[in-house]
Amino acid sequence: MLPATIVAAVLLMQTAPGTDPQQQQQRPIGTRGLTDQTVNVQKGMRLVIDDCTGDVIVDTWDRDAVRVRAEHSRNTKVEITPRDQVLSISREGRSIIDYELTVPAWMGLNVEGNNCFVDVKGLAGNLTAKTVQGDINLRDLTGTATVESIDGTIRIEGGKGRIQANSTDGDIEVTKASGELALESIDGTIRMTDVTASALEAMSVDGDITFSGTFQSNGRYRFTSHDGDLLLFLPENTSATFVVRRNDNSEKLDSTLPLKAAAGAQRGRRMTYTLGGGSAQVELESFDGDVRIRKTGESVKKD
Amino acid sequence: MVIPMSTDPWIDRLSEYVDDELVPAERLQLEQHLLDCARCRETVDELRDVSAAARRLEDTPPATDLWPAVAAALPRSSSRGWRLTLSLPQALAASLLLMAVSGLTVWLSMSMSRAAAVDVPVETRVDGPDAAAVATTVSDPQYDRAVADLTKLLDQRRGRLDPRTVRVIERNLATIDRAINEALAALKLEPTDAYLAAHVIEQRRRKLSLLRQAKNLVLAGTQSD
Amino acid sequence: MPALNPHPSDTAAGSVHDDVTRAAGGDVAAFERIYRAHIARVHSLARRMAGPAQADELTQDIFVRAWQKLGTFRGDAAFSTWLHRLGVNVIIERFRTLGAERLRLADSDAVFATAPAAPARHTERMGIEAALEDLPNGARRIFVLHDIEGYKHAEIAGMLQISVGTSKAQLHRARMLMRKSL
Repeated sequence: MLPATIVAAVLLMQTAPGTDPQQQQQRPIGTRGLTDQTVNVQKGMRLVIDDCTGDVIVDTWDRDAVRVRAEHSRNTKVEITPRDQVLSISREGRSIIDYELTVPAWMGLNVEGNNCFVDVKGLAGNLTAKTVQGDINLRDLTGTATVESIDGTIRIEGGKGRIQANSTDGDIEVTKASGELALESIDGTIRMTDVTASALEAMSVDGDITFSGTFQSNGRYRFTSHDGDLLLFLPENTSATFVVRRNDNSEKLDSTLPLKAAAGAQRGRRMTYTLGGGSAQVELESFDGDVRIRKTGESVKKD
Repeated sequence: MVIPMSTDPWIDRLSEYVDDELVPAERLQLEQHLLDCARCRETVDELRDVSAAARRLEDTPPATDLWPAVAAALPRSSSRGWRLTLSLPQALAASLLLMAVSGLTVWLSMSMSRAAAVDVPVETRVDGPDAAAVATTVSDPQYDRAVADLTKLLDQRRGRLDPRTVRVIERNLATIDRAINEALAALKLEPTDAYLAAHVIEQRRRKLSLLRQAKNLVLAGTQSD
Repeated sequence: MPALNPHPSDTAAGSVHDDVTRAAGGDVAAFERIYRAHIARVHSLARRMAGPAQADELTQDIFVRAWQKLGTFRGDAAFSTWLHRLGVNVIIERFRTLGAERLRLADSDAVFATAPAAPARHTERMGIEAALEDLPNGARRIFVLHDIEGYKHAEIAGMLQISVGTSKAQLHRARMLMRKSL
């Protein structure tokens, strides 16, 4: 929601060529301006912002149109340009621009920028987002997404899409998501809560990885870290085969669930355990960190 | 446009008056006003005092010496470039690297497809006959070349990145290098261990991936001054 | 044989130039002398602009950036001026990375309607430095740049991408709030 003081003022924008403008408003406030423009789009088009400098907040509606509301300095012009299958939003000028976009759920979206904060809700189209120092929030996505941040936190909430998330130094937090997830951080923690993905890979170098949720039958899950701890919270009726690899695998796996080590289950640094029917396939690898499995809801003392 | 904080139309112009930024006609009008407005005269004096006090402020150093942290963050190589330690006493067969470079999405794609004929073995890819390849000490030219090229590019253009981003990237490269070295040290003791070999490959993939990300940032020039 | 580190107060213009040249060539000892000579000013700038919590980290970033950019110093202005301007740029860039704390400046009534009045605990006289922390962010930064650091409104407007009018209004607001602290 844009601040009330700013909502009162909008700058007149030139209509994007080739589209029917639905609505344009212009009200200036001193040196701040608000652009509010809606353009029609056709199925298959992608929205591209490749020079994001502020917030990009995206919501969806069931119209085949894109509404662009942007807050910026008066010297800056927002340019909305449709070309073939791409609707490009760019700026003329150097001001930070905050966008609120409402797009059709089917629309694809590319957002890229340095200090760019991205928040996308409800999208079914393909999403690509890359920031350096901005957070990325994804909510209720049902399509595919590839998101990347060097220093920002990536949050995934709800949704059942196929999401690949990569944060170099920031954390990755996933809540109540299903679908398929590939999560990677080097130094950040990866925390998954109420996750029911059917395929999941969580990888870190130094960060801890915590999972709480349920494994699907025949689902495939992989948790790997070099130095980080792996901690899984699972229901008692979980059916999974665990292949555990650690540099020092001499000790039995620390688990409060009744894992069974089958005869001949140890091969070098690899140990295999089953729980229940052994349906889901789970790989747990930590070179130097702890690997622990607990019942859902159990508390864990930090070492 | 400035909305007056009081009904006096001149009160919001007093700083400009103090800084001698009014045009002559306005200055004259304000000075006329000051003759009759004690409150404005008092405010002018106060604004001058604030400005003068600000100019007299002395600079003080931080409570702790920041030089060690600054020094640690400075690149030290002779070329003043990226501080990367590429100490790889062992490398792995090219076929292993190829698997590694594709990395994460391959694993997940294979998992996602779940085709009956593609039964990805639960253990990693390097068991069996390939285990022998793990024991080789032949350097991996493909990987080394990629790392060297990326490092050189970044070295030449690191100034285009924000220092904080440089710090984050360097710190994470150091984290990965440490992981690689620890894994290699373990592999040296057990050269045919499949897990260790795959682990080294995985960390090298991450290093390449991060170097490429840094390269893309530099080339995009998104953070230049 | 490297020279013994001169005391910053002994540093003459000529030796500053020497140190800059050496540091640009990778001489860390020379850069340390530069650091020692300017740390108070740089840290004070960072502290006043961004607050004590971020001052140390910003100061480090400024010196690292200076190290990277030493080769671009032409010597046509005093080194301290060059370093100071570089510091301001780094600080302003940092503001832009903080989503919640973006430098939102408007010429509207909002500046005056929402900017907090000086809190009651500062009714007694107290130093400017401490009172700075209670100013609204935009007003504080412009006060620092104009009244403490000596930049003109046109320069400030360019650096912060605001209008000269906004810069003047914010400065006036800052001074009006600060006068209660003296």
